[in-house]
Amino acid sequence: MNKVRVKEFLGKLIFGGAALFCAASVIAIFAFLVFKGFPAFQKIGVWEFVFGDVWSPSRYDTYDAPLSGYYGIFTMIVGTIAATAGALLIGGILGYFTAVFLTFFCPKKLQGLFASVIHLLAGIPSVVYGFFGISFLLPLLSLVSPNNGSGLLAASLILGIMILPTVTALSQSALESVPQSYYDASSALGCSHAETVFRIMIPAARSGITASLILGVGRALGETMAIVMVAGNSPTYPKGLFHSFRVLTANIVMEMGYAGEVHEGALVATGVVLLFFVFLINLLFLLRSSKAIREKNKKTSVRKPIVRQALLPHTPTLGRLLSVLSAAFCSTILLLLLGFILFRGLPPLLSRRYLLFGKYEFGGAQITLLPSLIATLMAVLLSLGIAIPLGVMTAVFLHEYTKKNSLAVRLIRSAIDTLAGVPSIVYGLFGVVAFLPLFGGSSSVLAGSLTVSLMLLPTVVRTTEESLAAVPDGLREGSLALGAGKVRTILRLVLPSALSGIFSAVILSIGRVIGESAPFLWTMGSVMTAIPRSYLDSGTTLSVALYQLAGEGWHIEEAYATAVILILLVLSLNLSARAVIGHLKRKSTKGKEARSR
Amino acid sequence: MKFGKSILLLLCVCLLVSFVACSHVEKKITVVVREVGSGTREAFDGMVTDGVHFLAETDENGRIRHNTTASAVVQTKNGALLTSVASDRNAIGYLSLSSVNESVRMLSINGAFPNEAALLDGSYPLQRPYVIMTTKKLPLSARAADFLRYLQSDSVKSHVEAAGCFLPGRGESALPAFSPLSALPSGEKILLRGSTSLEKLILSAARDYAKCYGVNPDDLFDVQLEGSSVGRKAVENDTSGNVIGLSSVAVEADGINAHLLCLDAIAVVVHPSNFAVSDLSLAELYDIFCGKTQYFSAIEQGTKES
Amino acid sequence: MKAREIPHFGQSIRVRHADLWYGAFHALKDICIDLPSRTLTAFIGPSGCGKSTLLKCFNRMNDMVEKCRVSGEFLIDGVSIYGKIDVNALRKSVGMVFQKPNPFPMSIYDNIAYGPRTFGVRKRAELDAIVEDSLRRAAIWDEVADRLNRSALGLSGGQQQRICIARALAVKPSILLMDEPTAALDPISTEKIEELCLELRKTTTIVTVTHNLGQAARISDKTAFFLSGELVECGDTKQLFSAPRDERTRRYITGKFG
Repeated sequence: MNKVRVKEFLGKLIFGGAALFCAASVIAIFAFLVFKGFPAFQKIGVWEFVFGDVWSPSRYDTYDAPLSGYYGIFTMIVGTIAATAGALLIGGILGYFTAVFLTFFCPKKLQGLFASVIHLLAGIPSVVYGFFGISFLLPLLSLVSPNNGSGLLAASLILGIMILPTVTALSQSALESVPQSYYDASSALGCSHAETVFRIMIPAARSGITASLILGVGRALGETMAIVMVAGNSPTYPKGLFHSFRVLTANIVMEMGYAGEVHEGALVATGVVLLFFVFLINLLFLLRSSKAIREKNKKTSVRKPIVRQALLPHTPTLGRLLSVLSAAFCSTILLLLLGFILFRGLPPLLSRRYLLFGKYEFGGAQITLLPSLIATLMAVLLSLGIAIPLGVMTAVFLHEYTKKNSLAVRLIRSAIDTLAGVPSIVYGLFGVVAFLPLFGGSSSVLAGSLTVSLMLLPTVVRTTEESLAAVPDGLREGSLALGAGKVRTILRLVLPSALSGIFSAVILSIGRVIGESAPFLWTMGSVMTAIPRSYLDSGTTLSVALYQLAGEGWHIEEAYATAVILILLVLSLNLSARAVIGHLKRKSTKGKEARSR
Repeated sequence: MKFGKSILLLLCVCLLVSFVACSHVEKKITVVVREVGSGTREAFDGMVTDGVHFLAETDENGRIRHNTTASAVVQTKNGALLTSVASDRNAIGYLSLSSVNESVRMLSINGAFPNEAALLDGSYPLQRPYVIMTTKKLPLSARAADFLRYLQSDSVKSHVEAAGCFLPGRGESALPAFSPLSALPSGEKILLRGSTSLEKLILSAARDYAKCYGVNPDDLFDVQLEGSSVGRKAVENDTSGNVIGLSSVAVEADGINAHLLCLDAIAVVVHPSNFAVSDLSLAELYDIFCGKTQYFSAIEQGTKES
Repeated sequence: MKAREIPHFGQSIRVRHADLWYGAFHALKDICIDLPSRTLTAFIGPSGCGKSTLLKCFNRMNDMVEKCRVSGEFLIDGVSIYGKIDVNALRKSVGMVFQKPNPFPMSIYDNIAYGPRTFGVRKRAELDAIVEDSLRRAAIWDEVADRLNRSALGLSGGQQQRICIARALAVKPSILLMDEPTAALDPISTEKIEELCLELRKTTTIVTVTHNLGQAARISDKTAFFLSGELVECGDTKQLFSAPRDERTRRYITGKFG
């Protein structure tokens, strides 16, 4: 009997420990950033730092000597706001109309196709977007621009395309959750399909759509690698559509490697300011979504003023047109991006075998991607090996062990939600200030993987929790009523039933590790070197390799080939995820051959 | 809906206006620079002057102020900078002479082209030393010391030349020949840290050095080239005596032994079809890079054509 | 069951002055009831009257409900089940069948063997015997004997419910709680479950919650009528249905309200 008690106790201890660890890591991240950034704030002065518009850091600056550089990030704050606004203008509007198209105007046959287009757009690594930006968009824009095309317009376009899938997916689910009865009622009054959609369905989903836009803004704020490749990056105000400017995230990623004492502190402080903006946006999102819930419960919300009523008769046709155009634009972008990169990248990939299978040569002129592939694999294995068990155990603790509204759980959950909103470059910063010193200050696959596993945690916890919530309570009751303990119930019944959710968490995580580059750049290594032989060696993941190759400009064909590999990886992940999740779902619902022992 | 429509309209108008405005007017100069912190930028900013100001100088507050124009495009890699200049008819940029290729056109400065003679007699003003850094705080490990000996021998000459750099002031005879020890000194890997500009040079030297002992260079060296400042930091924090730092700017620091490796020129480059300029004085260069001169047509050429 | 010594609970239930709150809601009010050994008692009453709540007190499934508070005495053969006892052992002795069939997403065999395995039975032969015996007692052996390795989810609702009963029987409970076991089933499946109950009550104490008054009259020895958290009347089924003592019971069983 005691054995069971011990088992139950151990179970609770382990699951609870994982949850605590998650909460602690959130605290650690903020504590570290504040701890490292605070002296810089103090030295530079908060006012001068935030509102100063000269950024000319000096590597000689230390905390105990007078400053010899200027550290003002106001130009970058303005740049960040401008780029985000531009992205919202492009990605927000396009995403919104695409969602309308997908929900209401898309022929049934094409729905699956468009859904996968959006999925794919969401899965493409940001560095590939950036690469597409410098190799396709900038030359195109330079035809009309007074400079090489970089600047606010290019940044807004690229960012807009990047937030489009987020906005589309969330707006779509908001639109889909509008009760069918509204539609029926409107149709019964003789309204056409388009009229019903634009007068009844969309207004009813307004809060949800706004929430999706806010989330899109959050994503645009934190984006780093794509924007760094097209913005021009001089630390000034964006004085026009084609004027070099810099955003906060770019500032961190560009200068982290060089930074001296105060400079490094100032970059961490830049991260703190960035976080402040992200939290503001998250807060807005929370308020919005809670408002949406309130509205739903009250079922009374004030509708539009009369002026707009008068304008409405025109909108259904126009709106319909716009929604079709947006969807067409989305697919065009995807086709363009895939087509362009495959067209340029496949030939070198196929004709140069050494690219994939070549032996790495010390200081050699030939680029081989084998070390990057292996480093990527190592990072995927280790970061998933850390994040998946921790995340799943945390989710189990939150969902199975705790009362829903206890203070501790609310704290842990909000800590995890906070973690989810933190931009990936901030994880990179944390990795540099927290992990690198542990390994003698030099970057390693280990440090990079640790950094990224923190970044994966919130996704894993959330996805797992959702799938745990989908497991019917009847199963748990059935098992407990037989006298089985909690641990046994969880291990034998609940987790196996939630397998498809856990699996999708795994796939999502692999995709993120492969796609992310900002957190790896300064933690894992940015120089393409030999195959890492242990986790203490440095290495570049494929995405970082693409960033380096594209930025260097010596090996542009190799860069295209790397982009092709990345896209193919994302594609195959997408497909395999669908196949396996579909298979798991079929197995658990229909139940053909179950396992027997 | 109404909002969306008007925004879309506005965007179209913006595009149209900028299109019309830009296609007929002479384009401004696109100034392309390296990022603050890179050795190339630091050397360039410290040398380009109109006689009064430098591109980077200490202002009345005792702080460094950068006078580089705000509209400059910043590139973090030599190759990216090269691509930027090669793809923009109105661009001007600078980079290490060793990285220049035929995709861009090189300008002469003060009438001198960057070549060995002009560099060694000092008539080409934009030059900088490549420096090997080692720690002063503790003795170098046997391996690192042996590699340093190699870098200061005549064996390094071919690598320097291959990289497009120049050995300073000394003839070939001034350098001792390198004779390998009877066996490779035991110890940990040599850590190569520092400037990306020296990548080509140091890697080929390291490869040949390893060949002297018949070992795989990967077992001998750990290479992380992320910039001169990173290298300097690594040398300052060296606790094992294994770090060899590489800097593309002159080094004056307490804890560091600096050994001059060779000289490099910083070349100023424009688009290959840009014949509006061929030669610039340092002052003209300053005016362009600080944004005072905005059009190539504003630069008087011809009188001092060389 | 030799692997572990598990305390066994008896067959008769006695409840004294039981109260239960869900937060501020007083769900059970001063309940006193005796359920003798090897009888089948039916709990009837309108929805939300507390009958299922009381049922779940007998195997402490209410423990998992948030903000649920219980007071009073619950005794099984004189042992207080809210005292210092092992809840899992209690639940092994007091089996439960739910309103909605809830077979686990595994094979029929594994479903039945789940309980025994939980309590340490590992030998294949022993498990085989338990599975067959349980399925036979649940009157479903003939229907599934040839597909024990198929998923239990592929069965019909009535079959699934009998699988759940067999699963409960596999750990040899002395008391079986049934929470509207036929509410989700068609009449033919319902009839089969009812026959099964009549068979099972010879060896086991059964408490069933039902909305079907006819079913209560057909199968139960005793019937208890609940109304808004109070036990209105409890007595022999025949007596309660023919001559209810309380006016409210009479109105309920004649269909005047509820």
